[in-house]
Amino acid sequence: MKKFYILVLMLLSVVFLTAVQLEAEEYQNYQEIVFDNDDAMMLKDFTSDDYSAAYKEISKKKFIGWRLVVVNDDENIEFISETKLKIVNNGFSTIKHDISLETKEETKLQLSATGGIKVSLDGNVKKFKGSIDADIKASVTYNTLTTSHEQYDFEIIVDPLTYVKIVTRGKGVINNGVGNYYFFWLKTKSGGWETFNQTTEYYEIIKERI
Amino acid sequence: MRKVFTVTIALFMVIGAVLIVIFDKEFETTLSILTIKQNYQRLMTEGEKLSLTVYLSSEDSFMTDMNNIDSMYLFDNENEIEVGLSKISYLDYKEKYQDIDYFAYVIDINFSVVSISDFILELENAYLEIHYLNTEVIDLEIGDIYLNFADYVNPSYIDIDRMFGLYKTTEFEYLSAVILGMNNFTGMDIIIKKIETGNKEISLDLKHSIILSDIPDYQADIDDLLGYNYDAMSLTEATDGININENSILCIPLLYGNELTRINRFPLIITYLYNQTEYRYYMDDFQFNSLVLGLEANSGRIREFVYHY
Repeated sequence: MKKFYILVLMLLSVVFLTAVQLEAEEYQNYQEIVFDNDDAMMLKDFTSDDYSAAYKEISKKKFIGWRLVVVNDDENIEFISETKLKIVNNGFSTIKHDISLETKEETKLQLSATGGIKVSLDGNVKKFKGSIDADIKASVTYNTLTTSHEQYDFEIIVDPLTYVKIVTRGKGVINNGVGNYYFFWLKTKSGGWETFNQTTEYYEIIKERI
Repeated sequence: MRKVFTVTIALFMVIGAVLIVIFDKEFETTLSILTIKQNYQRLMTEGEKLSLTVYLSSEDSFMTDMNNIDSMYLFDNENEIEVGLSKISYLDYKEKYQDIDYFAYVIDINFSVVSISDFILELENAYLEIHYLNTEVIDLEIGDIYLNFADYVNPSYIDIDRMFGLYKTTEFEYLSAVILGMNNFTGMDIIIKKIETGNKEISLDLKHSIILSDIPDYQADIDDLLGYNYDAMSLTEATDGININENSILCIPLLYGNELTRINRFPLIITYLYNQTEYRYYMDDFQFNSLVLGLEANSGRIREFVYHY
């Protein structure tokens, strides 16, 4: 009997871990994301208690379709993105590099989801899979900042025993929450969702000694 | 027999409806091409291309087919240069402007047709002229161009170890100052005499620049750093330069000529005095922030070319 309970517990753990697994996007890997509002948080930082509290708000059953709740609504953030490039010169002579960077429009709007909510790519457009996409669009600001797709060539000189890096910083807006899908009043799917809108992006060049 | 007639009539009605839907579409007799007038300032490295964004009122047009293009030129009132076409690519982006859908394309041009070295190409209010194989010619107004093809070598007396912009928001966000971490490797006085960007309308105001003790936050306000309200549209004042006798963090406000504009990319050409000799330090054109694409966001600087079929 004990073995049976252990097996059931293990199975439940696997199911739970699968349920909250995050479909990670680029912004999840940013070096730093700081909310203007101290109480706001990202979906990846939701605890099981946060999920439970949010699900409680949408526990009323529905014939068919999604029930959504917005937990963090239009929360402004500042971020330091990943280092765009880093060139190290360990040698004893100066090196010259031609760098080519490209700005991509699709990085300006990013989506994440957990559990039964999925993200899909339709052409160049990222969206939540299924009818929940329209429901979320109706609930939150969902704009993209469109920037030039221009290729950016930059020549840089790296002195001996120094490195050069280009980092990006910026501002954005995060919305997140949870959702339940009902089919004949039965809850068949549930999970978390998050949208990240990048509103501005600034570049900084830094040269330092190794 | 009645059934056959009924089916035939129904079939005719369906075909007729389909034909009406197909031919009811208004035949386009004009093609509108929009450009956003901009300042292009570049230190041109070997093989570097210049990317120009254009918006067309039709997604399928002979204008954007590379195979139809015979030659291309950049010109202003005085100068003209033939340029090469590297590629034309659809940005997969469309925008409604004055109730018309416009499709964004990027034209990448190169400078391989005419060999240029150690030369500054300056075109004021420049046009891109495209000659098509069917003898059609279109002129697109693109803005001011400063392309420096200098093969430069920086003497190792000074260097920049940090650079980013500060911003201010009015009707839109504009670059209000540049923060430069300057290294002086000489152990002696170096005087920064001037800093050029290649843009005649926008200059770095050395007269009102200050030396900071710490690197400011990228969200710092230029007025707070200077201690007064800086007028970004005042006249340029002469200065003897700034003395850099050790590693310094310079905060240099930007002066805009007639109007505040969005500028996101330019080179720095620093003229400095060391040991009574004048030198130049070149920093390749750096992208300070991402360029906002879109017609609505740039409506004041849109130029239109209308082509009649």
